[in-house]
Amino acid sequence: MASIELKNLRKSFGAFDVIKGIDLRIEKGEFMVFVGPSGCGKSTLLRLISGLEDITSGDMIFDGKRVNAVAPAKRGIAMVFQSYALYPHMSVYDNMAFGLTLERGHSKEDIRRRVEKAADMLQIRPYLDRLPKQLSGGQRQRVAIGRAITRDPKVFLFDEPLSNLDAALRVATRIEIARLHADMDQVTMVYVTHDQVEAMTLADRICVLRDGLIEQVGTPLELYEHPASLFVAGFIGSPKMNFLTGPKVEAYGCATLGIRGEHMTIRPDGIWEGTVIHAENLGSDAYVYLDMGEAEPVVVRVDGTATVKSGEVLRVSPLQERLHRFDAAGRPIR
Amino acid sequence: MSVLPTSAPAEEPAHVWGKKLEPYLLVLPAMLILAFFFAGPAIYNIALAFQELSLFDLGREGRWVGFDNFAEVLTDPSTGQSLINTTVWLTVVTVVLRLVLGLGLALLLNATVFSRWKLGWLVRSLILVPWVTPPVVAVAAWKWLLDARYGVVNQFLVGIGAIEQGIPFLARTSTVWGAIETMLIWRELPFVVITILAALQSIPSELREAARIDGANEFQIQTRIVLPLLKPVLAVITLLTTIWTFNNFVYVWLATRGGPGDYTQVLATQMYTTSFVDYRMGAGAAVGVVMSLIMFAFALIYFFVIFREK
Ligand SMILES: Nc1ncnc2c1ncn2[C@@H]1O[C@H](COP(=O)(O)OP(=O)(O)OP(=O)(O)O)[C@@H](O)[C@H]1O
Ligand SMILES: [Mg+2]
Repeated sequence: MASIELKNLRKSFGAFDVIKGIDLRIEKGEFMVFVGPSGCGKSTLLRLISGLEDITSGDMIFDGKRVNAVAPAKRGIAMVFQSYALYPHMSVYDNMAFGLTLERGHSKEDIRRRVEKAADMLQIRPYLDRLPKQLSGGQRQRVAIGRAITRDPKVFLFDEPLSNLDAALRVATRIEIARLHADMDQVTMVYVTHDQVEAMTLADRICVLRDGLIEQVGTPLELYEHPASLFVAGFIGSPKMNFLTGPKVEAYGCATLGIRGEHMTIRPDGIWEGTVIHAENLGSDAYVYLDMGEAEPVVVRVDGTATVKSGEVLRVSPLQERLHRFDAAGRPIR
Repeated sequence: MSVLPTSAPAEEPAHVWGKKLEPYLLVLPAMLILAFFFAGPAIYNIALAFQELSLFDLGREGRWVGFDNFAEVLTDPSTGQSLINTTVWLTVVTVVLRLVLGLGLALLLNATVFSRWKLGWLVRSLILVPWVTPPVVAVAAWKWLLDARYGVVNQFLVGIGAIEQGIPFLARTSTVWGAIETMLIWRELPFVVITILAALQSIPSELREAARIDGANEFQIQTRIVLPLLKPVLAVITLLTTIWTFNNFVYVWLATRGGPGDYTQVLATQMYTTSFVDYRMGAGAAVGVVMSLIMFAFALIYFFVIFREK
């Protein structure tokens, strides 16, 4: 129910500039994901939106109103922390009800109804009387999300909510969050993650941050297909995009040639040659690491049934229309 | 599926016994030291409480008198006064004040404004100064500060015109307990502050932030999040300081020797006086046993009440 606008937003801790001037508009109901390397300022940016951190300069605008000086509780936001941040001395019910009990004008009945509704959405109703320490990690995370839902926020903020969960639970909770977003299509969600699979699967739009600045904003496919820089190209997609340099790429008229592993095929008449260093078989498909004389091995995705041996010499060809050309400054040549 | 009968264990080989004995052997030295320095004297003290023994009889066996010593101690009206002094003026007042002041100071020292302040570390270190001062030195210094004629406190009060003549704080019944309590609290407060501060710093900042987002103001965060989380540490501090203070001897003894008259006599000083001034070792030991029993009962009830939930 709220659009968020950041205007030339800056944040410094003492003399140390963390956020260096960010302009961004997040539409209402949008699922925006912040990704970027560790220390680039994702959490700080999220905390600026939440109001937990003071803005050094620039404007934070919710629904056209400047909220720089508005307290977190008055911004209509809810936040899910990486560490869950459940109140350890309160039952699950009290954890979820805490925010409502602090607001005036909610009857006990009203609070109970809202807590139970949120609990049902997340299937945590059986645990309402338990203490957080009596729950598993996944249940705790659902309680944390439930606590946020109970407040009926206009904006949902997540700071790496899945990073303390194991792989299977991470996938399950990710799907749950996606479903939640579909159910609550009026609620704006801002989500911080390291994990580019989370970013690709959840986001309406992804904002790639680097060193306190926005590198690119766009839909997952835009970022995947048209990265605005070498940095984004290397960051989005898994495995990482391969970068080729040197004489091999001169013919293409660029400094660096980018090609994803899934956009290359192994064929006897391939234009590049490489020695197999290692092969990883994931069942459905396999990643072959080739030494092509580049700084890093080149990864090629092949079918899971293919058999490749270390030391074998293979020839590969890229899909011409999937090549990404970058100039010496790392900008794409279109 | 068939269930096989479990075979009876074969005779245990010697090395298994060695393994079983190992933990006992490891704690043996500590146990011996405890037995020698703690259990020994404690048992001797209990035995002494049932004997009549003056200092001149030391080395000889005392005369066994059954519960006579206890009867005497418990019917002596001054014991009742000592008990009230010990419980109320020495212990309850100072424990409560230490908890309140300690909590307040710890919350202050832990506040964000304070941690951002450049000299914050200095203040935190200064807080420790009383704690590293030996109690004997602390009392001597305070007696000097409170001296009727030369003491800084009186000179200051006279200087600003609050009083005309210096007050002999330790010689007046109206001020003597306040003076003793001041010395004790000054010396013992840092323990409380540092312990609470450590507990405060172990509370993750995300909890406060989550509460802020939930709409709690600073006061609500302290009362509804922080205080409940401090409960365990406050419970332990209360137990420890109560026992230490109830049994404490140095502050009253060094400050007033139980005076003026025996106005500030506490159980610990009464025990000492009975034993080593009146030379009635048996009766003195009986006071000691009574003190132990009271603290034992206190600890039991306390554990029962505080830790019942678990
Ligand atoms: N309270 C603070 N005081 C000083 N520096 C801070 C503070 N909070 C964050 N920083 C610095 O700001 C930079 C960005 O931190 P931030 O937590 O936003 O990174 P991040 O992108 O979330 O990283 P990660 O992916 O590791 O969580 C880091 O260099 C960090 O050291
Ligand atoms: Mg972070």
